[in-house]
Amino acid sequence: MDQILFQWNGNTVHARPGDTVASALYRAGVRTFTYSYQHGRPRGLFCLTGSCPNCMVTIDGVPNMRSCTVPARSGLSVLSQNLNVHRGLDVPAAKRFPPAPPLAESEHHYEHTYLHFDVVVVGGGPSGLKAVLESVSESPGMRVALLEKELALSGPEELAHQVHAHPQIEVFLSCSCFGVYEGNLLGAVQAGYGRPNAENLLHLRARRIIWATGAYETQYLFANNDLPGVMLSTAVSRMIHRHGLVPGRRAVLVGELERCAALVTDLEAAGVHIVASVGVDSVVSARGSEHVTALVTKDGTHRVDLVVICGPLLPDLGLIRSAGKQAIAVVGAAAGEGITSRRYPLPPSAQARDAIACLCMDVSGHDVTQAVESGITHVELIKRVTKLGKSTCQGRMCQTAAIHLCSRITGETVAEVGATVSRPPAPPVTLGVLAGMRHHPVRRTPMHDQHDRLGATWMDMGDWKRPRYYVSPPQDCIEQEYRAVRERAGIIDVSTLGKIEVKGPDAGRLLDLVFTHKFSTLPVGRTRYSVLCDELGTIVDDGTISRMEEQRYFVTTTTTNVDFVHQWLEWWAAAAGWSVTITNLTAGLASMNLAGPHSREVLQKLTNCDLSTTAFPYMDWRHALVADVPATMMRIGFVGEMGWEIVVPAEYGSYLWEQLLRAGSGVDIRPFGVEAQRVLRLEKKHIIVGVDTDALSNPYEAGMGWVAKLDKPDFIGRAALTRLKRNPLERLLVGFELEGNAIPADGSPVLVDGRPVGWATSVRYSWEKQKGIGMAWVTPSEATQGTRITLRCDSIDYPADVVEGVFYDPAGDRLKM
Amino acid sequence: MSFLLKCPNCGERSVYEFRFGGELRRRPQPEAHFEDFLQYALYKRNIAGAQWEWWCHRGGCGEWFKAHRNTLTNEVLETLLPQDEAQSG
Amino acid sequence: MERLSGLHRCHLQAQGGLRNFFGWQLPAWYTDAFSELAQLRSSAGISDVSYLTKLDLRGTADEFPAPARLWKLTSTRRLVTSPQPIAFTPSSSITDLTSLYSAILLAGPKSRQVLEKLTTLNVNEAAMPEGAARQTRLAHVNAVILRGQGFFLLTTRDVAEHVWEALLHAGASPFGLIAQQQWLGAAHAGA
Repeated sequence: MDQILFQWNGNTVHARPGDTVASALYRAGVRTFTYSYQHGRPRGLFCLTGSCPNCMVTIDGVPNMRSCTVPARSGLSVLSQNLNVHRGLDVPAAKRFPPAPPLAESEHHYEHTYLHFDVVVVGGGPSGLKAVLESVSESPGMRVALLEKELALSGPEELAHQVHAHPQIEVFLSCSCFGVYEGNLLGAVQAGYGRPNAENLLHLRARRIIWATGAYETQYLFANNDLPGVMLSTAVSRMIHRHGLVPGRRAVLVGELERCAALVTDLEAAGVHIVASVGVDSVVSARGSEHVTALVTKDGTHRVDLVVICGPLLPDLGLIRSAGKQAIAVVGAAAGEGITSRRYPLPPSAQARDAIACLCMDVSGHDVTQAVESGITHVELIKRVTKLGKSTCQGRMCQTAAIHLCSRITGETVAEVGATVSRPPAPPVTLGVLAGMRHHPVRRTPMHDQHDRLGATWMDMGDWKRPRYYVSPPQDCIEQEYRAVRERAGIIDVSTLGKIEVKGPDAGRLLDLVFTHKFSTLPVGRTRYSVLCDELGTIVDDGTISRMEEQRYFVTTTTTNVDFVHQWLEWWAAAAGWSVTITNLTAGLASMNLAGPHSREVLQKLTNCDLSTTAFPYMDWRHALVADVPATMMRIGFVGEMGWEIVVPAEYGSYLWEQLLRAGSGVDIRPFGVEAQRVLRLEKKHIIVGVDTDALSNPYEAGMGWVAKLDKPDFIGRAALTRLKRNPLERLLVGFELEGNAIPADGSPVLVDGRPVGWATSVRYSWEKQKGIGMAWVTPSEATQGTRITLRCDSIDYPADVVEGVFYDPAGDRLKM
Repeated sequence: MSFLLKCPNCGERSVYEFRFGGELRRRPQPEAHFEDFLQYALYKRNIAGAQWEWWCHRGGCGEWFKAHRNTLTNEVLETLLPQDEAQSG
Repeated sequence: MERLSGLHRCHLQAQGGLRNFFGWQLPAWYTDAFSELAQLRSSAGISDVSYLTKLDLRGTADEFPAPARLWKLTSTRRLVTSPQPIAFTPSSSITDLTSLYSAILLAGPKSRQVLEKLTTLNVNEAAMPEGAARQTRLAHVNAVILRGQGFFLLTTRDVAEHVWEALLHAGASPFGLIAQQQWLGAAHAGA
């Protein structure tokens, strides 16, 4: 026989193949499995169907596992719960939620699977099997799924065999449906999937859903009805038939005895002495401390160690009720077939008061009675006031009793008292299985490997990885990169910036409409900077646009806005019915910016294209071979030095980067990262949309009014910008110089005479000025040269002076060398 | 929210493949009053019931289309390509 | 000079080394071609087919001869793929997407199960027969899925590595160009 050994509260337990954790523990003599959450009452096996909380334990760190549904497996670590509550050791205020575990990698394995079926049947009992076989015969291509929460299909063996063998039927065992969502989407969790400690989340889309979940047995109310040894008849039957366990020696049966005739035979055959069979109305209480020892009735006290509850059967419909108007067919016991409907029997009031109505939250009959007597007469309100039904079983075990109790007290009908709605996920699911495997997209440029080899320190920009700087330590390194660009030559990978091709007869017209500057009149061969605004004149993005051909343009955007700009352009074209082809080419092109006073001589080594200013002026572009690679070169200058942006098909990017570094070795070229670029551009007061501008910035207050061509007949934002141009500005983006070398953080508030007037958007140390510099939003009265302002960061004040104009090369001569 | 939306190009897909683009509105002519632009930019009718709206199949064909959807039930009554006639409001 | 695919970093550990296939640096095999082919025939394999020429056609009725293959994406938009270069006249109707898209061939009897872990698209046989082309989300990024001798998964080059890893996680094993050419056969090999 296979040896299955697991740990129970630190002790070793043996299990047989086919055991659940619960049955193995019971066989090993465990009767108290756990303690209840609120009052620490001892609890033992009760339903054995996963419907109640009484066998909940922590398995391998996962709490609230219903041990009657978990197959026993070697190596498990099982712990009972709420022992401290039982011992009265928990401090009331602190006891409710255990501290969240650290966010480490889980040992548990979580998967997601997305499937589509014509029909999904939930429940593998007799009516479910019948429904599956009927569905699949409807037409040749039918694909049908059957979800069964237990380890095997129940129902006639012949049908189960047919179902398993049918090629068009897919059976999912140990698979519990926790929710039905809009669009006939079912959520289900398959446990033990493929390997131990694994869960698979199934997203199932169905054309039709058939609900065949059957009926489940529920409890009666009497004092100490929650003692270990008080069990539902379903549980007793399962213990005997599935696990070969004898649940006691002396038993009393309570309730719907006619339904349990077969069970009586089974108990007697197992050697259990049935002491009595009684109706609910004669029960006074169960007696015992950790386990039932007697049942007290009006006709006398029966000494027993097993009380069998032959409880009422309820159709398992909770989730369906919350699914609203979805057309879901309900069949079998879930539809009430074979269930005789009768009034729920309640004990006399005194007995009801001391009963535990809600096993999950320890809500007693007394609690419910008190609420009802104080005027809470709808079960939804009873739920919220007493907490009855608010826990993991969502009212399965307790709702009926509470409704009938309320009805008896108030005289309302059961329908008037109402019913609660069970909401998904029911049963509960782990957060891990909802999250699945962590696999967030990462975007890499064609030169990613080159940067790794150069020792880059990476940063995230949206999903992209970009080099922040190369080689540690950062401070010296960034200065070295900066100096290379200002004095010799530097190269930066700018492949992450958006690149969109816009071509077709209406291309120029579309760009004129969407951007603030003019593009239908841009000559072929030229590049122009522009922003795009929304209808309120707010800057949404910026970039350069090059006219490649009469009807073809190349648009650049900021890294994180390319998808938005692409969709925005598509939308305006679609709404106007214009003929234009828009393609996001970002990932297909490698682009690098070579900049510095020696950049021309470096680049000239690799190309025959005449790079002199007369032949190739600032803001022109050219096609040429660079190191034998077909390239487009644009003469633009974000960092304020002479330079070119070189764009090639992505598959050549890595090669070209290496060739440029090699060609520049003579002038000690350096690769530079985002940090160095930020300083270089800040010295030129070149804005970065989204850093120096926000969701309300317009071009006038950002000092870029020239970019809005109001003489165009129409463009997005024109009406607002015309207005804004006339009105006095409410704030202005200005430059400033700090007094000292200490650099406060981006975003630091700006104060004048202790009054906040704005905030600093970008602050860096400038090697040109040998002090800190930055840009800030201020009110107009502070926007003049020499105005004293104060930045505050982490309670430290940083005095500064407003500076008009740029910090480096104000005439812009360096760009046009 | 997990309803299905029928892209005119790609067929029925999970709503998460799409981006909502707002209700259909008529943009004012360039010479209109500024107040008309404000109304257009800032105010929505926000119909409780069936409305015509824009959707972009950003996780699929990338194209924009119009949908007639009941905002109370998420039932999608019809989807049309931009050039097809819709009863816009 | 060498053309490097977006999956280049995934190929660096390939034991068969990187060689010139169709003008690109690609792995001949990862472990060995024989066992890769066996794995492919019994389970699911992934292989780099980024060298495929890929053209986007809009509003044009141009036809392209074999070994090129046409795929219908929308009523106005088609995709052309080919293992060989395609000569065409540049226009606003044709866009070359060869550099933009990385392409991964997912093939083998379990390839559908692999896809079912990564996309909400209905990939059942009836819903996606041979010749079908679908634009959808795959492993949280946009993808074009073409059903030919397996599933050709086209994604933008920047996320190719991410998609390759997601496919490995979902149960596919890599196979190199030797096994790939065996699988795709003479009709594909061309050049």
